[in-house]
Amino acid sequence: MSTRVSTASATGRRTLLGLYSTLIYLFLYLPIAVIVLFAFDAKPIPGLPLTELTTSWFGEMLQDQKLVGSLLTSLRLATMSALLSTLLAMPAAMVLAWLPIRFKSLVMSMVLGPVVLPQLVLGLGLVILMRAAPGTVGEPAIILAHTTITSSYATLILYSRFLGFRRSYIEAAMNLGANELTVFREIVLPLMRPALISVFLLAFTDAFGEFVVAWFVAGFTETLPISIWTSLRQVISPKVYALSSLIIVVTLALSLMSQLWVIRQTRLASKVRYA
Amino acid sequence: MKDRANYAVEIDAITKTYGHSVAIRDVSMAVRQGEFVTILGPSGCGKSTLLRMISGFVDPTTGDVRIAGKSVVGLASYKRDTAMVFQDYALFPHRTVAENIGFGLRMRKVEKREINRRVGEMLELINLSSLGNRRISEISGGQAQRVALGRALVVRPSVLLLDEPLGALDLKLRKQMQTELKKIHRELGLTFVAVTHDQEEALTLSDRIAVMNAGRIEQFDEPETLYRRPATRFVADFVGGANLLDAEVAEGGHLLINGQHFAGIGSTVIGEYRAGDKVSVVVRPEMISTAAPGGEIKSACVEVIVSEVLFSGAVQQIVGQLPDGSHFIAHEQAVKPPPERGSRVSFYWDGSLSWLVSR
Repeated sequence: MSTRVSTASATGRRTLLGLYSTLIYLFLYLPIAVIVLFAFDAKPIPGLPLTELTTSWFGEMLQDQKLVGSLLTSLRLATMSALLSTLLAMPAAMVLAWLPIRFKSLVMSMVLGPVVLPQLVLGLGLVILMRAAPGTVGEPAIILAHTTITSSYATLILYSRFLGFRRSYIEAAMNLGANELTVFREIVLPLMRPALISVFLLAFTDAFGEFVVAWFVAGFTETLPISIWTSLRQVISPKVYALSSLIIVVTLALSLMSQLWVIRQTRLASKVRYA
Repeated sequence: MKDRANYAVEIDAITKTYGHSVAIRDVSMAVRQGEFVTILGPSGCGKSTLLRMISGFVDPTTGDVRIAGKSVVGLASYKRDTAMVFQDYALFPHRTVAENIGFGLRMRKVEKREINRRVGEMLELINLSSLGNRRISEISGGQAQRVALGRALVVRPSVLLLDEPLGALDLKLRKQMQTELKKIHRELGLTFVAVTHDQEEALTLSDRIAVMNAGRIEQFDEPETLYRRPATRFVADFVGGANLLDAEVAEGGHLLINGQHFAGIGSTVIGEYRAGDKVSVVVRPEMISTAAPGGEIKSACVEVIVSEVLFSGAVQQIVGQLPDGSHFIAHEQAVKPPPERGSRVSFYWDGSLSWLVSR
């Protein structure tokens, strides 16, 4: 009797959990799903109910010089920012993790500044700053602004990774005749590669989608978010949905792949049994 | 002046301080060419710091370190002719077994074919010929230990440093590796300097042992001398275990314990000590036999109350309590039944076998 009650309640619990999970995923992915759905809507002004499906918007989207141009601009600028912030964050994280530093917690909390600051405030500040160097407005300003934002958490993520790095690897290599530069190239860089790549990808996606700060300093430069924002003032073209769907698929695939890769790398490294 | 080339490593009046705390106090020792020397001591005694000074990861505050007669203070680790086996092995996880072993040779810009040949030889020496292409994650702890050893040996360092080399292995593997390490040392004729807290390992492996305590070297001697003639109370207790009886040297070549004349220890044991010197009598547990109290015993003897009897096969350990409450331990052959707990027995031994240390 009692077992039947407990199985019944277990089944109930499982149903409840399933329901809860479904709701959460719906909440997370419904807006995205709607975009993908509308990309296939044949009506020039997408909306429910869907009466006819088409893939022609994807073709038309690729013909749209303005949209494709802004996509390429965004890709280029985000790559630059991600590269810059990873390059900046790595040495900073190494120093924070490996060298004795005074007022370390103060330094760390200051590094976090640009992340906790409202983006609107950061944007305003940058606008004022740009008056001193009007030549940078546009692409250089966007790259710098996004580097500021992304390098701060890139430093924090890499800091924790460097903290966990076994120092005896470095000592062993030096002991075997490798100088500082060789140790970095032969030991530190290869072992930190998964962390560096994941930080780069994170910074890239963040810079790619960032709108608020870029809007402040863009001048006449049109990144993809700015271009979409501008087009919102008229009717949202189905081409925007098509492009967005494409980006969503690519981003999800990329992040899934990189996660899997990082997990595999970490598993290989932690498999060192005697450690 | 001594012929310096005879010494592989010289540590000359080294002191190391970290802020206000002193890790090493005025330590000197010289390791001969081809010798296997172990630095033995409890954790925190400064033994690892000493090893790290030889390898170049730490510099002394004052004093000099010489390798093959040349001072190396301030010289980077990668410019020193030493190789180290790390406690956690520190094998590079992104490289294969063979690549790990060849790393030092590659850093020394040895030709590729020569590297392959020497790595092959080394794999044979450490009995891992078939595992060269394995990843580090795919080998066992014992195999990793060998790879770490091979990686250090293959560069033919003038000094091989070993930091608790067998500490991570289980007992059976440890015994096996001890024999192997000893064999490799004999075959290659290299100078080995090891650090351990395991006295048995030190006694088995070493030509000479430096016993360290609280930043000082208490004694630097051959294993047998350490065991038979420890210079200090600490060494007597740390190496082999010992009972220590506090005593005072009296006029006329005998000892006083608690003001009473202590029979059985004569002038030969007292030797150079003078009347009034405060000393401890060192008595190894395995010297002691037991007898019923009150019998006529011509040798050195203490009366105890048996507080514990531990039986472990061939030997039984009898823990006795002296009148002042301190413990006195005897290891007796288990040929006769042990005394009852709580009974009063005499512990006696050949007084001429015990010796004195200052206190």
